[in-house]
This record gives sequence, structure tokens and C-alpha cells, in this order.
Amino acid sequence: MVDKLVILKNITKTYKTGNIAHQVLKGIDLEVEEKEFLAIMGASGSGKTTLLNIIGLLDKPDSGTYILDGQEVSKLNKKELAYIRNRKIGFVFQAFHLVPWATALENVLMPLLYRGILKKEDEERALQLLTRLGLEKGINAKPSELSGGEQQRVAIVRALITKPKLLLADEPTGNLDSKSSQEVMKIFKELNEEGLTIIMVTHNPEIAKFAQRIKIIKDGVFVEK
Amino acid sequence: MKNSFLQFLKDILKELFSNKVNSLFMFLALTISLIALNTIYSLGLSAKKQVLDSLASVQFGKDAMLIIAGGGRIIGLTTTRTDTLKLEDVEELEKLDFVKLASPMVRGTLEVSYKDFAEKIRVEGVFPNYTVANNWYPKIGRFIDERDFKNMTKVCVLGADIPEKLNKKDIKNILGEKIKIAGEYFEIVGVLEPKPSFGHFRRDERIVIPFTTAQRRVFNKDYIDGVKLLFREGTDMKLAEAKIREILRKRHSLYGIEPDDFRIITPELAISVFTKTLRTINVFLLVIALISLVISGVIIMNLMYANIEEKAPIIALRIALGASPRKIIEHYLIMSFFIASISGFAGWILSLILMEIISLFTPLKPIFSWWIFLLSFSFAGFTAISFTLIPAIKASQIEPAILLKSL
Repeated sequence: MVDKLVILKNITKTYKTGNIAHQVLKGIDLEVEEKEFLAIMGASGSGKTTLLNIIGLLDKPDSGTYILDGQEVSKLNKKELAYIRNRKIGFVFQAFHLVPWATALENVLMPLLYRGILKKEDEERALQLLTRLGLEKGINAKPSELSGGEQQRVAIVRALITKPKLLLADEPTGNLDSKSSQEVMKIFKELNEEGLTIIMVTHNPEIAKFAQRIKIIKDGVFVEK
Repeated sequence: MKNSFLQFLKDILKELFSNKVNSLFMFLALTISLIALNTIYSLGLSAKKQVLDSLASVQFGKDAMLIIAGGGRIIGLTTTRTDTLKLEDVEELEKLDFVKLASPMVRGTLEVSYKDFAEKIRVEGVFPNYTVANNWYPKIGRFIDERDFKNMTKVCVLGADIPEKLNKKDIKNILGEKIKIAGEYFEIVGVLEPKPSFGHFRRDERIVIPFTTAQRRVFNKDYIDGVKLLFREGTDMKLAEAKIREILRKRHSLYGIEPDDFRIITPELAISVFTKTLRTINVFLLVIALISLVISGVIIMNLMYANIEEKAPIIALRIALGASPRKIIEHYLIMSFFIASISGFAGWILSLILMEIISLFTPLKPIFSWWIFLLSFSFAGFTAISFTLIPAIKASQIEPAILLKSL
């Protein structure tokens, strides 16, 4: 079943703080089809960020299975996970997470550095994408010289440069004003329409409206609306 | 096609220069200890070279031996009688088939005066073959000859520093002048060529007179103070030394555990005595320099830890974007390699400058050796990289999940 990009079965995750164990995810089942735009909503502490970490292969579940693009990934080691993240997943974070001393272009090309080969067409593609998102003037600017909206657009280009199958966004508009938020969401919508699968975590219903499907997480399990 | 490795290096350099203070301290710590290491090492080389040079210029000769009256340690006071070595002993030694030449001498420190100058100076009574035995010839005038020797004439040859001491700037005019040695007037017939000082011993401050004159008219003694022997080429020094010791002990009636009443100085012995003290001091200083290098390594480790802690979100980001643990370790090792290269080079250049400055105040001459360049770079690289390894491994273990949690 290749048309299911993400299949999560009975995922659990427990964090220990001292002697107190806190079960954050209590058996999550989730299937995301290719070209879908899914929003996961929930209050803080509901476990939505932990779930996104697991989907993004930034963290491992305690139990359950995770099949990404037809491959079981819950038991892989750090190097293998890094390889899959680099090739299949793009990340957009609330705090942008751009490298402060690198220019917009260098930030965008960073995921490709870890592949070993940087082709001329990669750089051209980066310039194209930056231009498409209206950043043609800021190509050689440092993140501190860009506005919040511009920084997030650079981060989106960085997520897209590797041609990922899955784009993960964690509160992508959390640090942006409403105008920039609308712009970013329009970009997401366009990208989704072009065939990119997007999973986005948010607590903002206005933002979640852009998605085709909304799932709500509460106390570590999905609940019906 | 653009090489991603260059981009990778550029990224590392930008990170390095993004925290100038931190990088500067790492660089300083390493550079200072490298300057110490390089300078001490090159001072050691320079001092050793100087000793070897001066030993060479002494022209002791490799097939030569010096026998000094009086037993004891090589350097230090005599602990036995010093009046037992006689010309008859030398005659006996000359019979040995490997002895090519023997040049006996008597010596003492005597009151020497010339016009308004008066000082105690080392005076040696020597054979005419002194020039051959010591490879030391007059610069001007002549040396003591067989006639002087036979007739006990009162002539003298001055060491190169003496004319200046006598306030005689124009040494040509000094020939034929009379100088008073222990109350007797001696005619100056020559001036020896200069020889470098040997440690504290200023070899150019001496006056030589005929052996016969010295023994009978000046010192009035029937024994000698030393004899320089030259051997035929290819003589086994160990065997020669043993044979000579045997003969002298027998002639001096020394048996069993009685110590020698003479000292035998061979070229190897002379070199080893001088280089041994030197080596001890040098090893001691090098150990200190290496300790300072370890300290700078610990400083680098500390600063690297601070750097990694500060950059944790960025490292987590790199990992999230697909950097393997190995790539992260490489990243920080390459960074420390940069620091090491800059420090290695700076440490090398600055130690060269320091050597030049030291040479202004001491007799040590600066020495240029690519070994020091190599030493600087290899120790810089080794220290920086080995002490960055642990922080780098720690960086590679950062959990990328902190990227989302920190919000």
C-alpha cells in the first residue's frame, strides 16, 4: 500500500521526569495518504509535539509500529534515521531555526551538505524556490536581516530543497503576524495542491482550516470532533 | 558541479568566527604553549649545536687523548697527589706503537705585568709540537721552536685575547716587546690564532713559554701537569685508554682499589660531559612545555564544551536536516583542526621571533629547522583534535527532538 505515506499503529511514548513516568502518547493510530494535508490540533500538553517528533523521526516510540513510505522505521539507528530524514522529510519549525551566521541561500542548501554532493542545479533550484516565495532580494541576507515572515519562507525553501515526500510543520505561524501567517498558509496550500503531503501541528483553528482533514489529540489519544 | 565539502568547510569557518571571543581564547591557549614548546626545543637544538661546534673548534681531534695529573672526577677538584706524572711516564707512553705524538706541558697562574698592566694569567710551558698536538698555530710571529726549547730562552707566545688586555691595539708592534712573567722578562715572539671559549674557560687568555724555561726557571718543578697524545688513525680508543691506564698505574705503583692519580680525557668523554647536563635541563624544560600543552588542551576542551552547549539547537537542527553523528563529529574536529593550524603557524613564527630576541641577550644563536615547524603543527594538531574529540562526540549525541520541545 504505497498510497499510504504514513501508517502509525498503537504508538506509545512515556517520558520520565525523575521517578514520575508520564505517558504522553497512549496508543496512537494514524494513516496519512499521499498528497493529503492533515492538521493535528490539541491543547498544550496533549502530546501533539511528541507525535510530530515521532512522525519526523526525531524521536522513537516506546512501542507500536511506524511505516513511512512503505518502510518500517521505528527500529532504525541514528545514522539510518538521519538518512531518511534527509531524503524524505522536510521540517518547518515555529522558531524557524535558521543558522544565524549563514545567508538565506546557505541555510537553504544546508540539508544538501549532508548528502555529500552539491550540484549546480541544486543551487539553481534553491534560487528558483527563493524567488518563487518572493525572497529574491534576500538571497545573501543573514536571518537577522530578514522579517519573521521572510525567515519562515526561507525555512520552507530549506524544507523543500531535498524534494521531500512529507512536510512536517510545527506551529509554522506561531511566531508570525496575521498577514505573514496568511501568506505562509497560502504557500502550504499551493504546495499541497502540487502534490506534497503535509502534516501540521497547531492549536489555532483559523490556521487548521487550511488543511483538508483535522485530527484532534487530547491526553495522548485522538478524539472525535 | 560545486563541491559540497568546500561549502561544509565554509559553514564550519563561519561558525568558528561567529563566536570570536571563544575562538580567540582557544587560539591563544594553544599558541602560547606552542611558543613555549617550540622555543625550548629550538633553544635545546641551538645549545647542543653550540657545544658541538665549540668541541669541533677545540679540535681535540678524534684520535686524541689528554692526560691530566691528579685523580678525581672529570670536572672538579683533584682528590689525589698531582705531582706524580713525569716526563719519564710520557717517554714510556711514546714507546706504544699507536702513539703518534706526545706533547707534555706544565701550567700555572702567574703574575704578568706589562707597563701599567698587571694581572694573574694562565701560563703554560709547552713543547714545540704543541701546535701540532692542539692544531693551534700563531696568527702572527712564530711559535716556540727547538732552539728555544734547548736553550731555555725567555720567549713567549700570547693567546689572542692578551694583546687587548695589555692595551696593545696594534698587535703587529707587540712582537719584540718584553713582558714580565713572575719577575722575569720574556720577549714576545708570536700571537696565537683565536679559538672560541669553551664554556667558562676562555682559551684565548693564556701565555705559552718553552717547556724547559717553565720547568726550570718559572715553576721549578720536576713533574708535569698534563700531556696531550695523538694516536695513529684507527686506534681503538677503549683499548688505548686501558693500556695507558695500566702503564701509568704500574709506574705510579697503584694497585687494587687505589684510585688513579691522573685523569684520562677522551673526545667522547668531553662531549658526553657537556651534552649530559644540557640534555637534563632540556628534558626538564620540554616536560614543562608539554604540561602547558596539556593545560591548553583542557582549556580547548572546556571552551569546545561551552561552544557546543551554546550551539545545541543548531546542532540539533543539523541532525534533524540529516547530518549523521559522524558528520557532526567531523564538523567539530575540522573546526579544531583550523584552530590548530592557525596556532601551529602562529606558534612557529612567534617562537622564531622569540629566539631572535633571546639571541640578543644570550650567546645562543637562533637556529632554523623545519623540524620545529613540524613539531609545532603536529603538537597543535594532536592537542586540539584529541581534546575536541570528547566534546564532539557529545555534540553528535544531541537529541534532535529538543528542536520542538524547546518551544
